[in-house]
Amino acid sequence: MPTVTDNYAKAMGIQSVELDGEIVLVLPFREEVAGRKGFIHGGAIGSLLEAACHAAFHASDAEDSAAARPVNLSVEFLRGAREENLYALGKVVRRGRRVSHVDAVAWQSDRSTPTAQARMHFFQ
Amino acid sequence: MDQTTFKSMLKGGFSKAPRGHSKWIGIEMSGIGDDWAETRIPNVSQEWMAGINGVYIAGPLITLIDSASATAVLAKLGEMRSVTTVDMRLDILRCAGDGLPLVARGECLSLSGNLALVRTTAHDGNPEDPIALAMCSFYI
Repeated sequence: MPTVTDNYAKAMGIQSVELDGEIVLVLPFREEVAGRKGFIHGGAIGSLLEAACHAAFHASDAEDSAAARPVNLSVEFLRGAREENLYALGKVVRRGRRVSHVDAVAWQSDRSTPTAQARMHFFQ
Repeated sequence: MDQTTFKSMLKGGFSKAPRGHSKWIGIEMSGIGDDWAETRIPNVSQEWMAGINGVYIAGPLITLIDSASATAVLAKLGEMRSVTTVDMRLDILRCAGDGLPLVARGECLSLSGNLALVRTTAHDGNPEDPIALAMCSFYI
């Protein structure tokens, strides 16, 4: 089950919730994550996607993932995130012995129109 | 508006920002040039940068790099426009030192049509010893 694994994400208010029978991460809108007027800051979106990648990676094998090191993060911003709940879910695409590839996608009211997506690599 | 006024307005913009994510993290503008901008977080909470088992969290770095990069685009444009981050690739080289500032310096490499490309380096005091490298593209 994906859970929030870092203090920064927790400080932003990110938590795990059940949505459509699935556990996902949610960033509720609040002043601390606001960007330009009417929208969530891109940095907060990136941090949510990062948290979703970490959550998926650690959920896949918590013991083994302890020694892994995140080496990069690539974020694509697809549309502005309005001042409402922003959800994200990560997925381990390939879990290798040395390198793991993890994807995450973020969305708001309509899951079929993603707000942003990200990819991370973990080395161990 | 002449360029000196514009640059000082850009530089002042952050410190006067009354709200939002940048303000919450404590981001300050620390320098600006013809095609570059530098932002910093003077005091980074180490608690923020650590995940479980001491794994490094980019978190505040993403916002810091986004701010430096977007401001570098405005510096090169020389006028106030809305700039939208399209993508960011961030490579993490090492962890930031405990109690040191986080600094990001973005350099706008190219403006062409609606596209701006920025290369940004993050460090914790010594620009020769970066903690992260990023490339961002912006729609302008």
